[in-house]
Parts: sequence; structure tokens; C-alpha cells
Amino acid sequence: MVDEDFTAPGISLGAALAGLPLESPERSAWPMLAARLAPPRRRPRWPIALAAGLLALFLLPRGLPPTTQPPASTTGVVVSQSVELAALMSESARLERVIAAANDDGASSATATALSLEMEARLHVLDGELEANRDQRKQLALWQQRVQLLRDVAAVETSRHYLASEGRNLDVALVAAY
Amino acid sequence: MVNVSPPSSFAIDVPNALLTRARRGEAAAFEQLYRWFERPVFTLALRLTGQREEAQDILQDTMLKLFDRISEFRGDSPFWGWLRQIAVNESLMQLRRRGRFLAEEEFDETDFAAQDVLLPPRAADAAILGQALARLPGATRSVLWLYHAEGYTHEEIALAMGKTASFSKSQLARGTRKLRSLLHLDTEALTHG
Repeated sequence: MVDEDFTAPGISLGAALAGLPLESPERSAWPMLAARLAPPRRRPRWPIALAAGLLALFLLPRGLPPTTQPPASTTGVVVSQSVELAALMSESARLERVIAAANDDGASSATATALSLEMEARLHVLDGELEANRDQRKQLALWQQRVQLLRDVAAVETSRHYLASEGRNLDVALVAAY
Repeated sequence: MVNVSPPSSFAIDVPNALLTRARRGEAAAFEQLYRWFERPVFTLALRLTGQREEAQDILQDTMLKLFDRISEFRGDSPFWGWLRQIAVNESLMQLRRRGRFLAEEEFDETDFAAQDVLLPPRAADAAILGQALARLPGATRSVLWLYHAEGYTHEEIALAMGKTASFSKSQLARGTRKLRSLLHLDTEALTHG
């Protein structure tokens, strides 16, 4: 019996190694890194946190206006998209810092935990799509979704933080509001 | 022997403007760098250590070092090469911690021919090749990967591993031979010339 390996042409080790696909980690290291990049925490000023958090909690999930105006001309589309992409990335990083700071007190409620886990799962899916899609237009849409989602998470976290400081619970506040 | 390697997966041209923003500490710039280099760093760490969890830790440590040390990057060489060296150092450090480094061995010139052989076509199957690589000692696998996939010279490998160039050559020859054996290849049939 003839071994096909002995008759077929071989490949070099370098070519074989180069042919191996790039691997992806099971989880993104970015959230931890973003938290590390966050500036030192200061004591929150709760009246401001209340205003921002509750406003966002009750208004943002129902839809925000677009962050930028549509481009006026075809030639401006690419530049406009790049600028908007950079702005969204910056906003995304800022929101992750806000969430990391608000999330670091160990206090939570069942509703807040469930909301956070759900949003985290959606964030993970979005990050996977961002990895897979290199088209700028698609990336722009995905980054918009990511920022929107982070705003929602930030709203929940800051509201929960404030209510906890008042000795109240997010679950109760949500029931009262709806 | 001239090492003609395919381009490293790290070979991404990073705009100076992005590096400038990262040096200023802009999180968005770091996030962009992370997203570009996440897979190259993870893949290199995985190839060298053979362990996904270790590779995950190395990815994190490498990026932390990038953040902490980016002010030290002078720009007289490609950024990706600088970052890759950090990832290599972190991976090799992990191998050392686990005691997976081999003792120094003298290079036998008769081993050298082993580097020129071709592997069987089944080596093109990523799963089969990955399994064979996983069975090599960590240091041997590291030398094979750094030499063939990343284009390091024996002197560069020796410097990174704290060994001699002779060690690197020896591991390359032995690793190639072992890999060929694992892929069930007849040595004589596929030797060049």
C-alpha cells in the first residue's frame, strides 16, 4: 500500500505554521483594561449622580437622538464616518470608566444584577460582531449600538448607586416608577 | 540557512496619530490598539505556551505593559515589533514560571539538515498540525514558532530566551524532526535534494 504522504508534494514548516488561523480569546480583556485606565475614583456627588442616572434610566432605553447629523455630501461620507467612529470609541471608553467606577462597591439588587448580566451578554455579542465586521459602515452601526448599550448600563449603575446611598433599592424604585 | 518567513500577523502599520493619542493616555486610542492586536497577541501566546488560559493571562499582561510603557516607545522601529517583543517576553516568562524551559544543549551540526525537510500535506490541516505542536515541549515549540512564523533569527531567539544561538538551532532541528515524526512522515522521502 502506498502512503499518499510519500507521493504527494510536501509543504514547508514555515508555510504550514503560517497557514494556522489566528486564534481568538474566549473573553475580551478590554473591560478589565478599561477599568485599569480609569482615573482614580473620587467620592461621587450624589445629587448630580441622581439627576444623570435617573434621567438616563427612564429616558435612554426608549431611544436617544443620533449622536451626529448625517453627512451632507457623498465625498464627506468617509471622513464623517471616521470622525463619528472615533467619537463613538471615545464615548465607549468613557462610559466603561463610569461603569467600572460605579460597579466597584459590591452592593447590588436582584434586578440590577439581572439587568447587568443581560447587558453584559449583549455587549459580548456586539464585541464579537465588531471583531467579525471590518466594513466601516457596519462598524459604525455596531459602535452606535455599543455606546447606546453602555449608556443603558451606566444609567442602571448610577441609579442603583444613588438609591443604595439613600438606603433604597432599585427594585422598589422600578416598581414605583412603572 | 536564510529564514524566509511569511509576514507576522503582528505586522500592522499603526498611524503615528493614534500612538500620539495613546501616549496622551486616551482610552479610545488604547482600545483601538487593543482591538487590532488582541488576536495576534493571543495567538502568539497560545502557540508558545500551548494553554488557552495562560494565553488569556498573557494577553492581559501584555496589554497592561503596553499601557504602562508606551511612553518608552521611541518610534525608531515599527510599533508592532515593539509590542510583539513584549508578548514574546511575557510568554517565555510564563514558560519559565512553569519550569517548562529545557536545559542548554550543544548544537549538533548533523541535526541542521532536519530543518530543510518538507512536512506531509496533512500538516496543512490546522487541527492536525495544532495537535502535533501541542505535544512538543514548550521551549521547542517556542523556537519553531518564533523562527518560522515570526521570522526571528537564532540570535534573536537566544537573546529572548536567555540561551545561546546553538540552543536555538538545536531545538529547531529537534523540534522539526519530532514534528515530522508526529505527523508520521518518512524522513528520507521528503528531504530536500
